[in-house]
Amino acid sequence: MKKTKVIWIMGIALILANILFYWFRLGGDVVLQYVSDLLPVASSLIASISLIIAFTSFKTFDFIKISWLLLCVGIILFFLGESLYAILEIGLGMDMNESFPSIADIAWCAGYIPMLICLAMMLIGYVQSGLPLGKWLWYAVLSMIFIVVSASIVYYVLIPIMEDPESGVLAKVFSLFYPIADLFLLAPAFIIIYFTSMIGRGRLSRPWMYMAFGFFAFTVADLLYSYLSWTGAYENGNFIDVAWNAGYLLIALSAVTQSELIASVGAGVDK
Amino acid sequence: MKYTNELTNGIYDILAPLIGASMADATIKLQTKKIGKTEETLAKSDLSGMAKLIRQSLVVFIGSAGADTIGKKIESAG
Repeated sequence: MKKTKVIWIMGIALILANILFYWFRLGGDVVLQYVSDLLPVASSLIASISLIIAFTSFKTFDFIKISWLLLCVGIILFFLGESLYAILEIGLGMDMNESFPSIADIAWCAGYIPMLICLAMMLIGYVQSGLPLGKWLWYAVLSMIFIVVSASIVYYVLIPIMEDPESGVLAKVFSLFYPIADLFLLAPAFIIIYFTSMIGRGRLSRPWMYMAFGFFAFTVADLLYSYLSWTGAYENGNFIDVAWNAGYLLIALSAVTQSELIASVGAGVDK
Repeated sequence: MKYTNELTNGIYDILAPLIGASMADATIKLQTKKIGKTEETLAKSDLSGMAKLIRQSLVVFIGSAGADTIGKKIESAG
């Protein structure tokens, strides 16, 4: 069976399980906590393994292989973050709202850095490729959307965090880091979605398209989480978790599609 | 046949499954222009230059080794 098919099946099964548990609250609060903590561990593990496969499929150690390596390192750090969070909450019974920021947050924050460099390298690579860059009108539209989203985040998330008198400096630094880093992820994700829309249905665009939608799912979930968590409205079993898991699985799909693309090009097969 | 020039058609047939029909069109138009030709005036002696430019376009998606494979296919399209 092709790796992409395996990821599709696993992804749909995980997302369906996620929705069913959250919708029907099967097994009560304890089971909900296990599902809420362990599904991201499973999803990020699938993404990490898929990215290792994608990275090793590149034959030459060039800048594009390095950019996939950076994405791989970023997702492995996210996997570490998800695992540490699950260990702290389930294993040690810690109240994660009270112990914010935790060691898991260090892993998550560190994960953003290689991912941002990866996206920047891919965009620079595309610009240098000589492929058409598209219409400037679309860049203007994307910039407008980005400005509106950024302004909303500043107003609804960043300002309330900065003005909160009850939080310590460390909690504020970490709380501000996530939405700002998400904005830096969102901008290249928008541009990659535009590039791939130009390339259309060609096989070359699929890995980038899945990756961009994966980042889009991450950032939407993360920004909503920042807002909900700050207002105290977030709890285990919130449906935004589905977007996080979908983000990981889309990145896994991107990675296996990339490895299959390279294998087919190397074999001279035009599928 | 999309183009009256067989060489251009050969390049198109290699690129279209990878980058889609419209991007293949746009890439051929852009790269032929860079070597001072059009889609219809492309000659066998231009294939090496076209292969080099298209290889450069593909590296970002499939890496140097994959782009080399496609570049060689284009060079032998004539």
